[in-house]
Amino acid sequence: MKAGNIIKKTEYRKRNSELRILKYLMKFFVYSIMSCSFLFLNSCDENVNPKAPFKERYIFNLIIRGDTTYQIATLSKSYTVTGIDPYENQVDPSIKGADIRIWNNDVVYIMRDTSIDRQDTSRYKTPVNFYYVRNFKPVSETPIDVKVELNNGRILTSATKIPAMMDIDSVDYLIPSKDKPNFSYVWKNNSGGTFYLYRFRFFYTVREGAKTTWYIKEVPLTYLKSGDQYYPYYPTVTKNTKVIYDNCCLDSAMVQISRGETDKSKFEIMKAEFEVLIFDKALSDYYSSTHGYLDEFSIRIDQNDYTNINGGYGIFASYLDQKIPVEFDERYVLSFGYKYGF
Amino acid sequence: MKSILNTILVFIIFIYNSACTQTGTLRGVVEDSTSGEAIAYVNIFVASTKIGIATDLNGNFTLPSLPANKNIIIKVTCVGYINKEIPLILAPDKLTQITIKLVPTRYQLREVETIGKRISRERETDLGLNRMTIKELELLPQGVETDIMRSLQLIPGVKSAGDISARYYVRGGSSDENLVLLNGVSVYNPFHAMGLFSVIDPDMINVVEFYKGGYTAEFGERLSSVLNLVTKNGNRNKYTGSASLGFLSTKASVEGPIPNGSFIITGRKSLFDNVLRKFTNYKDAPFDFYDFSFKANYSTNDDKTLSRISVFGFNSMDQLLNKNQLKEDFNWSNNILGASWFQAWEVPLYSELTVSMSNFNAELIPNQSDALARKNQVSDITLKMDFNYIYDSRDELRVGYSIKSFRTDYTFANLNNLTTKINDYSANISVYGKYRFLRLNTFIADAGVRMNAATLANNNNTRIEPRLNSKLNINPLISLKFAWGIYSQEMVTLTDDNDIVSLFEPWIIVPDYLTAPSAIHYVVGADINLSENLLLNIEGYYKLLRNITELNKEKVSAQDPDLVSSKGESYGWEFTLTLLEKRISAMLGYSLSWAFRETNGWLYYPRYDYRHQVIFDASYNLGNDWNISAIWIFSSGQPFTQIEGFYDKLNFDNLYTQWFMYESYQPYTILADKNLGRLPYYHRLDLSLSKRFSLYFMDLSFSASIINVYDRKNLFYFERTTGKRVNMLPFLPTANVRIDL
Repeated sequence: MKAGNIIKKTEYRKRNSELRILKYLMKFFVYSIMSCSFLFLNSCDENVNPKAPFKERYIFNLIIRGDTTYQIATLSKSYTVTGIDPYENQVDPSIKGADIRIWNNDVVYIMRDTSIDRQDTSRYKTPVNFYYVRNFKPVSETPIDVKVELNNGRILTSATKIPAMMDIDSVDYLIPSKDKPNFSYVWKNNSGGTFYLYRFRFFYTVREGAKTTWYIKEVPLTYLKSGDQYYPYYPTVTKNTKVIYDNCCLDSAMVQISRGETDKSKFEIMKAEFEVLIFDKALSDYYSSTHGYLDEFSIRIDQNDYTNINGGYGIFASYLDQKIPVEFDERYVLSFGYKYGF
Repeated sequence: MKSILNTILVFIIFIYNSACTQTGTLRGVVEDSTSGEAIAYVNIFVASTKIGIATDLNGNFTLPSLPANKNIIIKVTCVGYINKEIPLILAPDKLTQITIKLVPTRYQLREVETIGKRISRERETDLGLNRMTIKELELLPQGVETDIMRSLQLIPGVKSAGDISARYYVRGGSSDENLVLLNGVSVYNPFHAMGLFSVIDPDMINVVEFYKGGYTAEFGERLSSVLNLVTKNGNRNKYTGSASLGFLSTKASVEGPIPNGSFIITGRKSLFDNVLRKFTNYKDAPFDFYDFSFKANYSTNDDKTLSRISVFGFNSMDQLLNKNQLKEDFNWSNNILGASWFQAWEVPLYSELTVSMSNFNAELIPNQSDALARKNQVSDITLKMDFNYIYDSRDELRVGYSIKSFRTDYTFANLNNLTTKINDYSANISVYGKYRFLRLNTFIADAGVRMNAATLANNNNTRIEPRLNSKLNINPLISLKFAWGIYSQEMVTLTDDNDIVSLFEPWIIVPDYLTAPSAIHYVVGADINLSENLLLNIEGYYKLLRNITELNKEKVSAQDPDLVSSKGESYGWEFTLTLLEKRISAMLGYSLSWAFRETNGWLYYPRYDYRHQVIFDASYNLGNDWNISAIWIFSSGQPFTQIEGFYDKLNFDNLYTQWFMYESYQPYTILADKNLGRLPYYHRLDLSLSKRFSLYFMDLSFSASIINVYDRKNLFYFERTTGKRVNMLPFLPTANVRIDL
């Protein structure tokens, strides 16, 4: 046999085997297309039950306010819905008729239930149910306990301690100072784990004929730029025990109160104050757990829940209110054309 | 007289035998003939002795005890190269050094001489080891970008975090238990754009080795897996360049010769972030990233020695700049700089000294958003040296040491807005030694121990880590394997396993109040050659994890610890059927696995516990440089925590104005026991078609892929607040063009 014939034969075999593979491939391709079409047509959202069997839980919320003697609590139960959108539930889950007692300094306060008309009826249509107690103002650094007995015999309990008032380290009582471009307030943290919420406000009146009206203006902490616009940024809950306001933020607030008015003498600056709300530990922890915002992009599927209610969910906590009066420099107020009323 | 004759006869027989048993040692390096690039895993087979070996990651091999003064034929075979036969006569009792140049066959990837492959496989302790070449990776459908770490997810036993993430979980271990080495240097955050893609540009990589368990004593630092990446050395023959344009990024590389060496520079820059956003649910995310690498080599060799000095570097940078003070900004980067000196001595001894620095910096700048400020800096300076001696019996002794200076600075505002700093500086000194028993063809073993003479974590109880990896070749068709080892880890990430996408994964040294995590691996396996081109690999494993660190989910005050300790257990079976034909390659993989975690007395399935997983990938060379490939993945559902009910939760921001009544309440989910539910099955088909052709002075390649061909609605997660279903990747066609000069 000649060499050429051998090569031809080898090539023929090779081509034959390739054709065979191609045939198989064509078959594979056709079957694949058919399978894909089938899968494509049947590839709809698969049913999955994201829910476990429902168990009824009870939720009690009471935050004792230091700036009032009128305290409000809410009591409700958990609920479930047909789907997984909780807004499907339109039945008010609040619970009435429970026995709620607060102990503070050996005095027992009993909360009463009541209801008021609901303003936003987009979800629940019935009146808002809540519990209240009058003439209860928390005393700093005293323990406080609560016991909730539901009609079905279930009992929820909790305890907290009213926070300590803050000790002021340094305060700019007369602002703005000629010597520095800002004014600041520094205080001591007297109870570990405490959060604060502060604000700086001034009070002014506007005289229209014989009528004088009082107004309040809060001074922003700073101004933030977003695109070409500047937006005021007001303080949020913080752990910091020092706050610095730029004088320019006060300037801006002073200008804004009379923007568009030609007669500046109608305005009289009456008083100013720096006010701080001091959270107790339970309120601080609860705030932390509800504001555990990571960032815009991370996705957390399971959220953590904080509660200090034994036997249920919710929060029993308190905060105090402390105000520091401050004065404005007279020449500063007059420079805007306003009257000085301090 | 008789005794004299006997003596002479014995003497003659002795001399004859001595002459007959004269041996020499052959040492060599195998290179690509066009680029001079070292080729790893080349099969070197001496037909007359039936002795075979595979080249190491640097293309080196040593064959001791070969017959001297005789004609021997060295058969050299490798995927993607034309087979070569080299006749040689070795000098007795001497080391002969050769350089073998193989001619590439371009797209004839599967032209493998099976005998050579089988013999090299027989002589490896490769339990838990997967190897890939970049050419193989390029043929897989990859979506918008070839990605090494996404390709790992096609290996049974490796689980994915979802379509949008290149993060991976190996045999029940968490993602921070995976070691990524680039030229032997740790990469601390090997991901771009929130884990969507790896920072490793495949164009700079020459070899990929992936150990999914039972790895031997030269590797430390992590509990679950090792991804060992070796970069290219650069073209030693001519200056070349390449550029490519894809939907995601633009890339370029330049390489060429320098006196006695070569260099390579690669770079990649994100291009169209609107395509990238299709991979996420954040349609306005301002993704921006780049990576850059270089390597330069200087080598000298004579008849007996070979010396190579390399300097390499790598830098990756990611930014998410919102240009809005009400939104947070991010940036994170990896920087690596290293130098190595590789020496092949006059005796069959290799040594390599590496000095390196690896930094990772990440920062979340909250501006005036509600995000919490975080900053993490990792600085790792390492000196390490390895020696490998090859005995005449073909056994190998490998010893080495590593001195690592490690600093972590983690500054973060915790949930109380309190800034906390975790700063730690420590050093690890570890030494290892192992003996590779290779003298028998029927049984081979790699036994060694790694010792931590000084530890990073103050509380590391695992000072000695024995390792064993062995193989019994019952016959040429069946091998049985066994591996066992103890492993420890002293650096962990502070990551919440509830985060299915996590932007910020800071590294810290295990704090003093916890014991450093440790693991024990037990692995058994078998290789069964069902036919010449069909291999069945079976592996079973059991992994015990102790003192695993987890984020403390109950932390609410600054005094609470950030981490708590847990334990874990995982076990399973993996089956891989591989077909390697001339034009077709296919792999069918199946894994059956279980993983458990126990934290604070609660036993649960971690999120990456998939019970069943089936992977099928196939590629067919259509001829004329056309190639088509397909991947189909099926897995049973991931665990998730079911919803037990809802309640209206009190939220407040401004206590000055709120009265805690109806305006303050929003629905909140009450979760059932952790991870007792299962998501629906996941499956997806990807297809790819590629064509390569020459145009004037350029080589052009074009590839088009379709992700999720039949548009399967794979469930990613449910939004807890609204119950909205979020799916993984939809039907997504992509294309890529590449130019090689």
